[in-house]
Amino acid sequence: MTTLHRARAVIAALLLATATAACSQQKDTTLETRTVGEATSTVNDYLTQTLTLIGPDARQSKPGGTTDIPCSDAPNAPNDQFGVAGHYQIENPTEAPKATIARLQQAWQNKGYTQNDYRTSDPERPELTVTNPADHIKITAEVIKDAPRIALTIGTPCYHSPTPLY
Amino acid sequence: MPELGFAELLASDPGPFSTAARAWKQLAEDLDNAAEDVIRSTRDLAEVWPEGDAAEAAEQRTATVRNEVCNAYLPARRIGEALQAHADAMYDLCGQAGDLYDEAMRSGFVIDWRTGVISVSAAAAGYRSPDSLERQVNEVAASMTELVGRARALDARTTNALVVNLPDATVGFGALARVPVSREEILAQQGKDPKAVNDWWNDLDPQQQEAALQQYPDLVGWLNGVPAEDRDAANRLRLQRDGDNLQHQADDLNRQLADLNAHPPVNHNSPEFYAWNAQRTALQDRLDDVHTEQQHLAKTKEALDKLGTNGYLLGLDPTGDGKAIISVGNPDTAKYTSVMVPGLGTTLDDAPGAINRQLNLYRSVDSQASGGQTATMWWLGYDAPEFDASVALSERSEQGGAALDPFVDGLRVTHDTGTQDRLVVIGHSYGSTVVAEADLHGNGLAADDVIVAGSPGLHTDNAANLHIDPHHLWVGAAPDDPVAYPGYYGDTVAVASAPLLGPLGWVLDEAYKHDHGPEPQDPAFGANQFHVNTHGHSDYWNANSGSIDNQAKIIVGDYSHVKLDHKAPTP
Repeated sequence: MTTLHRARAVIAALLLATATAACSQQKDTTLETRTVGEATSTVNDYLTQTLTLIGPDARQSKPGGTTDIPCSDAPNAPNDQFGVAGHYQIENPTEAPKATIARLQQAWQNKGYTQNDYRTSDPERPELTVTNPADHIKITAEVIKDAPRIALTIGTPCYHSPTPLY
Repeated sequence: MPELGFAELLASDPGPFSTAARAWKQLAEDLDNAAEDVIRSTRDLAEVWPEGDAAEAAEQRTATVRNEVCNAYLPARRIGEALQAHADAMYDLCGQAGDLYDEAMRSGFVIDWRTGVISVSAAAAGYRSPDSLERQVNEVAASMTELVGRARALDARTTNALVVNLPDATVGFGALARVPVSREEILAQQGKDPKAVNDWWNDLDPQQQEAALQQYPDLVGWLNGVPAEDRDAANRLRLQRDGDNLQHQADDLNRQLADLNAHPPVNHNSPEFYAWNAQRTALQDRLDDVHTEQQHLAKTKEALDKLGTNGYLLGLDPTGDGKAIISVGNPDTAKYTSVMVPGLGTTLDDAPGAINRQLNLYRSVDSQASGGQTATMWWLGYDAPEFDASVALSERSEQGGAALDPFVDGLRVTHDTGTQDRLVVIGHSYGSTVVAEADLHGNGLAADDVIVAGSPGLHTDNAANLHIDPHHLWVGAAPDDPVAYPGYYGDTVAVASAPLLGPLGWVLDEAYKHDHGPEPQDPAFGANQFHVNTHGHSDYWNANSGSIDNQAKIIVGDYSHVKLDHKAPTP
């Protein structure tokens, strides 16, 4: 491709991204309003529930934690739209991680969560992703590489913050 | 002491040298830490206790202590390094001597350890010609002589290093300070190979390093090859000083404006009024620039405050759109490191949100890693293009690539184990072109893997033209990302966005009529495409993103569990 054609392609595509970012700002006025504290509290509740489901010996093998993240990194994106993600590493000495994930799959199914993905192609390291249709919280549980532990990710949808954040 | 011979070489044990080396290196590290404590705790003594004989005596005494501690550091480190080099070389020589001995025995030779004479057993002599035997004996003897010669030379070098660096019996390591580093000396390091810069930095004693940080933080803070903790200290100093300077400038400009506004010319059509107005406009423009820089510093501080002691400021320049490199975690001790290059329209004002994304990636990587520390970086070490013609040109990506490449080399050099287990470079949007430029030129990026998301192209027609192995190039592209797929919206959006883009509408129209070149996610380009479950161009790092999960797996090297749309073709 000639330099001129590349230049045109790049400017067109990037400027178009700006145009669509502007469109998405309008769309996002329908977001539910939450504070970061409230969203974080929700993620923490899901962590507690998941640890309870896994069993009394379950514990976090690393500190883990939550982060509030802007919903878009487009230039001039609204600074009051965010989601919260929590990342944790869980170990349960009384059960193999793959068995734990199989139990979580059943428990979450019983709660009416939607199963987005359940990969068992590597039988020792299954990966499960579910979403609670009531609040659109997404949870992923998977066995990590090289250790009998589970990586647990809990992510919220985008919310509208009552105050600017970023 | 008898001169070292083959028997001594064969029987030698390098283990104690390794043990001693570790002890000296630990001593050097303790001295370095002690020197920093002494320097920082006595730095302001003259300021808080400025006058009097006692103050003068205290200042002299603390200067002497500072110098003595600092002067002890380098010799201790050099002795540790010399002993370690000796141990490593001796392990090698002993191994070679053992192999030679075994080979000689297998050949039926007998070595007299006392005299070094080699004889041949009767059994071995029985089936070989005298010429052949003589040649073999001579070869063994020459190898023995060569090994012993190398061992003696090593011994002499190590002895010399010890003698030179041991303290004098009367004055110890001395109380005179070494000459401080000049600005010119630091400027001369810019653009050098980070390994050479690292060697230069390590040859400075703690007091020289501290003085360089204090006097020239703007230079030291950007120097690739300087350890992360020192860069961080320099840049935080600059953050504070630039903030103070800018506040003084703002106060001064506000005073000048107030004075000017207090005495406006009465006649608005007079030359005096035009001159007055021009002066006022110039002052206001300067004040606006100062406010912009203050805003950049405030946003940088806001980002750093979120990270606490786990934040590292590895570059800072508040001028213009602002530049900064901020790391979550110390890259010099991390097992898993990523460097993320942002794209179009990014300025230092974006730091707080960007750092939250890096913190999220950090936590995702940490949750996937079985052990070891993590560092994830936001690298705004270039002037990202604005919403103007700069985005269409390669100039910014070339400049960015030229800055990114040595930065990554520097990360490799300053790592405390010699190199990271995993180092991954990520480019978003226009940032992917910066990554591509860095990898296309010279010896390429010193990265284990490269990830790009929402890329407009990688300045080449095929992944094979990049230095990175195509199997370690990972492309993410949301199906409705108009940058990754410029044809996604077709003429509809070109027409619809024309009012927003104004005179640039023709560019859109023209662009869509031409071949935009290979999209890196196109299977024909030859890279891996990882699965993305987000929408549009700017959501790859949001809270619910499977893209984050995939990036974390690539960073820890868990390739088989990366969710792929397609793999790079097998050659």
